[in-house]
Amino acid sequence: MLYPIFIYLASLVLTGALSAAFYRNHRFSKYFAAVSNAILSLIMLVFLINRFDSFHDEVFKTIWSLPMAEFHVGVDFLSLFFMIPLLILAAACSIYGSEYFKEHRSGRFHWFFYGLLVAGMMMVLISRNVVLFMISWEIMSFSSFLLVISEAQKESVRRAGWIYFVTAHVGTAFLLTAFFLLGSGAGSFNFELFGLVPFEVAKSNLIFIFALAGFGFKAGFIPFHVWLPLAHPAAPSHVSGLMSGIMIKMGIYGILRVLMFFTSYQTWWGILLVIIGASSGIIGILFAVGQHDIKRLLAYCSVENIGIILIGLGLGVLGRAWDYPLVSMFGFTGALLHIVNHALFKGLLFLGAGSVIRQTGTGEIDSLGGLFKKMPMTGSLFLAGSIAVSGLPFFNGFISELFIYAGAITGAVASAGSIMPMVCALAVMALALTGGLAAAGFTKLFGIVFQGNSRKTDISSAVDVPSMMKLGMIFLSVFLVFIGMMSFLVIPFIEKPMLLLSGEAASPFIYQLSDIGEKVSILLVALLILMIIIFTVGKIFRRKTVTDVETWGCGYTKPASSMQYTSSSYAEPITSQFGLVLAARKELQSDNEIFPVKPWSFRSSVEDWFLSRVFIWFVKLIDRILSLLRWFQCGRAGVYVLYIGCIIIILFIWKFVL
Amino acid sequence: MIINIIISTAAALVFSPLLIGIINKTKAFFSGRRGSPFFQMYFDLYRLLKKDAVRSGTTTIVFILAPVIVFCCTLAAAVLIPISPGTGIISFTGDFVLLFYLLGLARFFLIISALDTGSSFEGMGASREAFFSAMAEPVVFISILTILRLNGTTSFTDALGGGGAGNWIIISLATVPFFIVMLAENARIPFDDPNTHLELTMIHEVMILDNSGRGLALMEWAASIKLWLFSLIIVRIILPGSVLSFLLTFVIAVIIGIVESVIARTTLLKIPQLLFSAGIIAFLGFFLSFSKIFVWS
Amino acid sequence: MQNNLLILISLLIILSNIFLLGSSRTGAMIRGIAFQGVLLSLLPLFLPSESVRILDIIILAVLSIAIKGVIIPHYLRKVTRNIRTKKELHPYLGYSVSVIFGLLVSYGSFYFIGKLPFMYLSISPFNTSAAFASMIIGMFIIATRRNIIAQIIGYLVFENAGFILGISIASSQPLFIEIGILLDLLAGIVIMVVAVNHIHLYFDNVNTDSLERLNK
Repeated sequence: MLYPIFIYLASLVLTGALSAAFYRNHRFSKYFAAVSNAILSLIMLVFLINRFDSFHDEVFKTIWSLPMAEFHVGVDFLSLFFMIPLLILAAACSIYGSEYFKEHRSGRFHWFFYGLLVAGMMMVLISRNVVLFMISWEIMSFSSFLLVISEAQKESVRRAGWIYFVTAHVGTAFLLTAFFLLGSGAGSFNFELFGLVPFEVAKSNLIFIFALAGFGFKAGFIPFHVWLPLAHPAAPSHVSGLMSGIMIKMGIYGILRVLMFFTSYQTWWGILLVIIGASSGIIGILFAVGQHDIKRLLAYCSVENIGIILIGLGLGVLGRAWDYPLVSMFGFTGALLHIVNHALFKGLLFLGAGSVIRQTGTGEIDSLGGLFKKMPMTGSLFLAGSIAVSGLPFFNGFISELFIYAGAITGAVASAGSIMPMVCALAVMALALTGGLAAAGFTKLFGIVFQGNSRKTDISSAVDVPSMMKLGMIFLSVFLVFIGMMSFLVIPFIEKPMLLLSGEAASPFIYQLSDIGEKVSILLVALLILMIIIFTVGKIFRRKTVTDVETWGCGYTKPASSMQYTSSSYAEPITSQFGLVLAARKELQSDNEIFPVKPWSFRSSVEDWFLSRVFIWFVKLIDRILSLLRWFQCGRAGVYVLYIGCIIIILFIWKFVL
Repeated sequence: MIINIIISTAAALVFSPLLIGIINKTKAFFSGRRGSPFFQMYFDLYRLLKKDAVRSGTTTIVFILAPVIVFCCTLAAAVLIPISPGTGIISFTGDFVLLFYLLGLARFFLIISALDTGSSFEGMGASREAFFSAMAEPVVFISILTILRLNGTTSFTDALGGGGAGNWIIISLATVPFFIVMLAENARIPFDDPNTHLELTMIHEVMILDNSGRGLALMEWAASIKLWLFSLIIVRIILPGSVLSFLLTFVIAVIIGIVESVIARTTLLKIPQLLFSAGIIAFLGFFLSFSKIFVWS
Repeated sequence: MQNNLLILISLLIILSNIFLLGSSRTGAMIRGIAFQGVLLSLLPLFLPSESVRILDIIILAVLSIAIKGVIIPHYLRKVTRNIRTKKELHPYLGYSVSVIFGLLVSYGSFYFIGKLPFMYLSISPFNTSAAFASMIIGMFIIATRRNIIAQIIGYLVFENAGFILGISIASSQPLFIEIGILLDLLAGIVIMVVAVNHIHLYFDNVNTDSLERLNK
């Protein structure tokens, strides 16, 4: 398994480099890069799924000249599992991306960095040494940063890129601390030794907290989510699809990897994970409902889905800490499946949002409307994604939420004591609330953007996207329906990574997973048949339908498109009721006359106070502390050369004398 | 199994319009009128199914598909509930999630079909429906957890289709929120007035303003099936042992009629508070179901 | 059955506490506190009959229904009608936060009361935990509300908690003490009502913030 991965990595970088080299012939360069990228990923995917059953852990080691480092890579079921959504999404996004740039050409190195981002994530998944892991991590962060600032001529893009850069490196600082703690305990920087040493409780707690914070900055759960709503709208859509779909999952992968280093889990880790997950889910989706920009809404929705994944993980950890194998099994299964599902539907939604922005020139929800008639394919696929993200049946989001629910329900019903039922009830409540609010948010998004009439933007000339872009989206939506309807066929891929996390205690109960999947599938198929029957019966005994009338305006004869409900008005009950979290701001400009002379204007916005208060405050605090070291940067070239010399001497002494 | 499905489907299809009739008759009785006949809704459905339709030019295929999807999902959810002991057709851990998410799918399509017309009235109703149902779902789920704990099973249909009743205090603490949510989800007073279209509190009725003919028939029928579903759940929670307990759904309909006659509709701003208090009651019930203090006494 | 009724009463007490925390209107609050008073007055009826005389129980129940359920609410309603505040006074903490606080306190007292060593004395630990919660909620209401009537009601909630504790823990003590406390309470409320009237005359409102001016 490792050698194909090496070949895959090398050819990704190579095709990227070739596309940069042939940049002069732009058409060729982008198609070559995108198509070869997609084909490579697909081949790799097929190979991987073929080998999944007969797979055994593999390791490859060789000596490396960096201090403390060893070129140590390996694949186990966890990394293999994460590769599946990565490869699917890499293929879909690159096919889609080949047509995405319309009037301005993509930069010379766009496809090179794209390949590098995929390769970096692949490297993160196979690294088994701290130094190698951090290098891969930085390749991933840096190439994604360069992709985010693709349109760096815009001020907002530069700001978003800057904040992303800062958060990514604050996260790295936490990660390094966690790894140093792990390394000092194990006496080595190789992952395989971390798992062998028993850590004392206090130390493992410390490691857990640092790793959670460090990986949290990548995963983007609250309160570390600040970069997501800025970076995703700034990046080109296929990049945001890739980032939101799978790159933030690398944070989850990191948390799982660190969890696997410990032989026993602490109870409070699970409780903390559930609480963070619940608040991240609820706050994330509340922010999403209040947004006015398509991609910002989707970005906040990613925060919510990471929260749902964390709830699943928390239940899994709790179940293992308190020895309820069923809870642990359902929790981890749900979390793992939701990782894949979220990658698929969020990728699809970002691609759909990109199509809307590309064809209409705006991502402002309030100025759009009625796009379904102009872009039926994009509209239908977007609808599929919206239903999936709301966790409703027939699509994949439902299955994973169902498993997380099942974990919480088993915990709430079967457990003794009073803490476990309370935590599980909290999980159920949070899942139900986020599910309902997500449905509210996505009916808003779909209903306002694709239905009714256009509000401000002129869409009379809008057409559906080119077929390559459609192909990318269709490819993803096939998986959406497949997992949603035939989940029992997918569950075997989750069982082995799940057992790595929940321990062997869960293996006797594993049949329950596909049992639930089968029952759901039978019911859904039956229901689908019923729908088709009723629909065809209706078609056969057709009645006359008059369609050339206007929507009934309740007696008003001249309805205008500006009188339709907007996204702000649709979200108003929610934003005002949850004012405690959202701090929604409303501005009404009026001229205070009885008979208005000037036109009035009203706007409402939801500010992310995590960014404006908490995060900026934190960064300023660090800035104030670190400015004490500013004398170090004196600005004279000679002194810098001196610094370099000192470092060389120190490294020399460390490597050869000590 | 097949017989059970047929029985539940037939019961849901046949009895549900009768519930509406009973509610209206009760309300008529309280206001001193003779009221429409019990079977009025059957006549209405028949009449609507025969009719031609008018459809706004703004709408898309979503508007055409929505009535079918709403109807089928609601019906499927209703069929999942056993109407007498031992007649559950499917049971697994977390089956109630499937049940309520099917209703959620129905609601999703109801909302987007309302938004499809581009009417501001229907947008208003859609927005409220989305918000209130999001508030109602956690309440229902906590109530269900309580019931599951009382019965010691992780499958809701198992708990409804057999098992003995638990302590009556806990059961009533689980049922009262369910009743409140039933009023909210079915757009009854005090949450919404099913007799008005164009009041400021309109929620459900306004969303189907532009439906006509068979689409409207399916939507109305689905709404009554939803009412049947909720009242059946309540009946099964209170009396899980008896075979004919589903007849008590008619009593529930009478109670709804009485509630609608004696209570005024609350203001919209108070609705979240009402659902929140239902949540508090549900939570207390769940708490009591595992409280050590309760076990001592 | 008797136990279930006791639990039901405590539950209703908790719910009325939460109602008091969540309601903004003084009229609703007065109704809530009257309801709670009546509920409390039923508690003595559940005392084990061998330890106390049945006549005492009946006198206590009737007296406390009269005082807590009728007389005090009547006075309070009268004084609200007298002072007739137009503007609603917002509390220092919002209503939803208060309600969540009330829930947490109720849950917490359920949880901790099980760990107290002297619980075997009480007739039902459930009542005792409700009383504990009421005590804290009463203080919370006094601390967070601006409206003076709401503060009086907070004081009453606090007193009710004492009543439950008195009934349920020390069932061996003579009930005459309880009756004495009841009469004291009545006197206290009457004095408060008079004071409120005077405050209203002097400041023209019942915002307790304006009392801070008195120390100047």
